[in-house]
Amino acid sequence: MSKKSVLAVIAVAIAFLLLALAIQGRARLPWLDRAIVAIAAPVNEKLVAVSNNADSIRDFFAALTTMQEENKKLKSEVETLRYANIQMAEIWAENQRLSNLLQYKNEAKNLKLQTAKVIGKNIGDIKDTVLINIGSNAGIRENMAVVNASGLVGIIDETYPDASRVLLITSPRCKAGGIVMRANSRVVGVVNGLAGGDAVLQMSNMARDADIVEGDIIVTSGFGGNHPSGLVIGTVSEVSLNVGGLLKHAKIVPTVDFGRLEEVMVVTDYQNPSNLIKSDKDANKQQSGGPVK
Amino acid sequence: MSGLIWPVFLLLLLSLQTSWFALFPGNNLTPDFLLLFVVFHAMFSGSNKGALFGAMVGLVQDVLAPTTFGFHIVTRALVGFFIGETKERVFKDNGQGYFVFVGAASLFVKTTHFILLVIVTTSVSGWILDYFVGTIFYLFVNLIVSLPMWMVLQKIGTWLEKRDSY
Repeated sequence: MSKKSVLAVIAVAIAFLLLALAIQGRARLPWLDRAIVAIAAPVNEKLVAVSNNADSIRDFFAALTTMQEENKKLKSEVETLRYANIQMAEIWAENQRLSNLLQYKNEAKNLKLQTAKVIGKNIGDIKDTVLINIGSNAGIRENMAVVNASGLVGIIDETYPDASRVLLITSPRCKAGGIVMRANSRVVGVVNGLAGGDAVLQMSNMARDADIVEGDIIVTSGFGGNHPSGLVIGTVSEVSLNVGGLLKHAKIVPTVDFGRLEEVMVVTDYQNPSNLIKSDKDANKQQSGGPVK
Repeated sequence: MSGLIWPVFLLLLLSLQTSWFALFPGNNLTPDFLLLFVVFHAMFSGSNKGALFGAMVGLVQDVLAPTTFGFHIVTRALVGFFIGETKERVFKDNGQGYFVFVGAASLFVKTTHFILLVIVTTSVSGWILDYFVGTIFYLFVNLIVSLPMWMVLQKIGTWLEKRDSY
């Protein structure tokens, strides 16, 4: 019997012995089990990882095509949204402006107002007129006051059937009666534009001892009967005497931002606040059964 | 028919100038398209026709903004006359010449306007600084717009010349 045959017989015998022991449950060879797992597990883990990675790579390439398509869609969506955003911003700004006008309209109960859109500006070198989109067909007449939420804008200079020209208060040609709003002053004067620009107005024809100081708010006096009283014109920025020293005049910073005029309101009819107080009194008397004149 | 091109273009420029604020909201810079148009015409039609055309454009502006009626007629006519006169002596019909003329005309108009305002208001305090800044912006915007304006006007001029030569 050769040496190889002897070794083979011994190996088979050991294998059977181990098998018999295993079947009888008397030995599970835990040391061998642990050794094999100790060696195999990391390798197995790596293999699984590689397999998973391979799956990821497959997924990646599969997703790439989809992503490119999605990217295109998203880009176009971004463009659409960006455009919509700009539109929204514009609508929001318009909404803000109109809300301010509406608020003003609700607060100024003594004024009958008609909203108009500015459709033309900068016609000539003296930028003191603007065109609005309502005219005589809408009941607009010359000399009506034009306001926005900030205050007096100007007066109607010329009407056309479907448009009107507004002479801005900043024009040297535009003159309006002004009064200091402060209760213990009530100095009156004539307000007009200085140079057609939108920076400064001037209030003149005031006595040299007139009680007017920097920071005073000037509103329309309404004395001429053409415009309602109490429309805000601006704030006094400087007070000085004229060249002869007999009269006082003041520089006024207008409250209206003339560079950003887009919507205005025309005062088509009005009731001065003093009349309102009177009519309120009458209403109260009527409620309490008193006589009404 | 071709004679109507320039009046129609003038109205288009007037609309563009008066609605510029709505196209570019948020700033108060508006190019003086009508002045640029007068300058262009004066360069090509000489002093007399330039002055006449300037006076017509000024009339349109004075009718629409009559605070100082006549001011635009006089200043635009003078711009047309002097540019027509100077161009015949000095410059060639090119974009650079137009650029220089636009700058000179803008400064001239602003200077005359300044003199008018001094007469009307009898004082320069309170507005002179704003006016100076406004003049620089006015000049700047006019010079920028003069380049595309030159190209457009040239195209129209060339097209009309070709049309008339048939």
